[in-house]
Amino acid sequence: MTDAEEPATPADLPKDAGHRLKELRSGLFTSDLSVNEFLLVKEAGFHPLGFVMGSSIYHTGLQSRKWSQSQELTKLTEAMYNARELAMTRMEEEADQLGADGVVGVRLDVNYYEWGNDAAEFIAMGTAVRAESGLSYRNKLGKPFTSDLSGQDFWTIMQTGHVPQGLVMGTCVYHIAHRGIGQTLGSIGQNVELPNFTQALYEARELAMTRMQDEAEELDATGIVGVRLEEKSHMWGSHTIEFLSLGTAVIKTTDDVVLPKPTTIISLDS
Amino acid sequence: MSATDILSEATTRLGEGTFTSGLTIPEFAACLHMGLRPVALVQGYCVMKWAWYASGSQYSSSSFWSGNRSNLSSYTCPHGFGYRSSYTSSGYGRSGYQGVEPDHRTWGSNVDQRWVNDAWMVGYNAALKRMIEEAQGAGAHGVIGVVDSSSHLIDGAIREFHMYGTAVVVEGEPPPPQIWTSYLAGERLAKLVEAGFFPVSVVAGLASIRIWSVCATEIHLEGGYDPYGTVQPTSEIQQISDAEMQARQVARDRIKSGLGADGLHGASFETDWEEVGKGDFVRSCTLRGTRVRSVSDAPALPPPVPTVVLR
Repeated sequence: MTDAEEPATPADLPKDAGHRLKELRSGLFTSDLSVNEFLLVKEAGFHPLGFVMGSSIYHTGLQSRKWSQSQELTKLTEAMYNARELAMTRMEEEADQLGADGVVGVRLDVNYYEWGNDAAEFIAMGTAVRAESGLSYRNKLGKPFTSDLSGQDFWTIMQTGHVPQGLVMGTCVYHIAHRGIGQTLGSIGQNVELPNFTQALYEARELAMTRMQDEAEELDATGIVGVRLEEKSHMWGSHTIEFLSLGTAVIKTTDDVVLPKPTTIISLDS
Repeated sequence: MSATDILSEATTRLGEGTFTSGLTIPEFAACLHMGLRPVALVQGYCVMKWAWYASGSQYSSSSFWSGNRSNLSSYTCPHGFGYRSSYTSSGYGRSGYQGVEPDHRTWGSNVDQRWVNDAWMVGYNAALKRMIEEAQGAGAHGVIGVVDSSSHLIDGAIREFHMYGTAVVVEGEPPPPQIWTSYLAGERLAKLVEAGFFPVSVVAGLASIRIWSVCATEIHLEGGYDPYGTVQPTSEIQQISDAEMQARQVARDRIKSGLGADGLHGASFETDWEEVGKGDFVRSCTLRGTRVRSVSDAPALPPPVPTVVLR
């Protein structure tokens, strides 16, 4: 490929990314897939193009919260969402530079460093792949699909007639009320439900999951597989919790699927 | 919360067109293969005020004394000490009721703390009920791959019970009178159905045994050296063994009593050990499993094929 044909590196990727991706375009591939994953991705008809990543260092800031009220901290929710979205977008841009159809095995991490108060680094990384058939597997938005499925899972989901469209997520940062002395004394020595708490946490999780589903709807997805619900207090103390919902949005491409008949096996593992 | 516990947020979420699945991908594939269509990841929660000393405990009620106690009340101190009626700091005599250190425990007990199980079941059942209501809202027939846990929230005095699973529709079948639930999914559920069984419900039982150590137990736990030379350094700690057996027995009995003619499949024990204070422990044991019913005679299984799996 000559320089003239090369797509311009997007402005928000570092210059070094341009060099690295250029090398990858010339045929060398890098991948963090295990050997078995590599074999199964090939078996599914895809070839790895390169290990791609995106990062964003984000100042998450603070938001005032009421001591005795359970509420969503919308500023923090937005920050946590935008930071991950930026990291994901940059990873997608790297994949786009390689002419990829998608990214498999995506991982999203958050790192905290000593030098940055309230700042966190959000990283997305995975292996960009392209279909060997030459057919485009890009999603409705014309972008490479992203997916947190492993190579094995990727092969299996393709066998069921579903194709990944994107790693979708929803988040909700929630502050849980402190209980007043009166309330605490009122229920001392009793094992009883605290309905306000139940409802607050329940609501936070439903919000995170609804937001995840909204992302899937934008991709015209049929469904979301492998949904996980993660809960973390990050650096905020025990009363503030982030509920993060993640999964891979898929579309069903064909009803005409013949799944292999299950067989009783003896595994030769000990 | 009201009679129907599910939130308006949940109703909105479940009404949307996309399906969600909390299953692993192999479980998802197995599920489609069995003719089950995932509809939605459904969940239920219950936050409870939590205390080991609760209503019904020895501090507020006499029910403690009618609890399932072991016969340690007839324990005889191997050193020949009786109950100390008055303690004087002078001397350590081996005879009579005096002269024993105040912490030499000539009494002790293993007690089934029934109120802990009762409270635990309230949390578990509330979360289960809410999860089933979400499944109903999603028009499902059953819930597979159920996961439940409970953890301390914020501090030790508040405990949250979680339950979630993937609601499914059995393709081409009318809705059952009651939504069934199952811890099993994927390969294990497929094998169960192939063997002629069908899941009815997830079930769980808890036993919480309070151990107040007698002197021999304390000596063992503190390093196995008996200043009086009576307790053998290497020997069974009878009281703890009893508590272990009792915890498992009680948890099993509680589940068995609700099974009727059905069986328990894929059962798992989870145990926990907590030190409340010196010589004062709680051994708890949770038994979970899927209640299954035999619905047809199983056909003979095909002969197994040896396989090398690339994982």
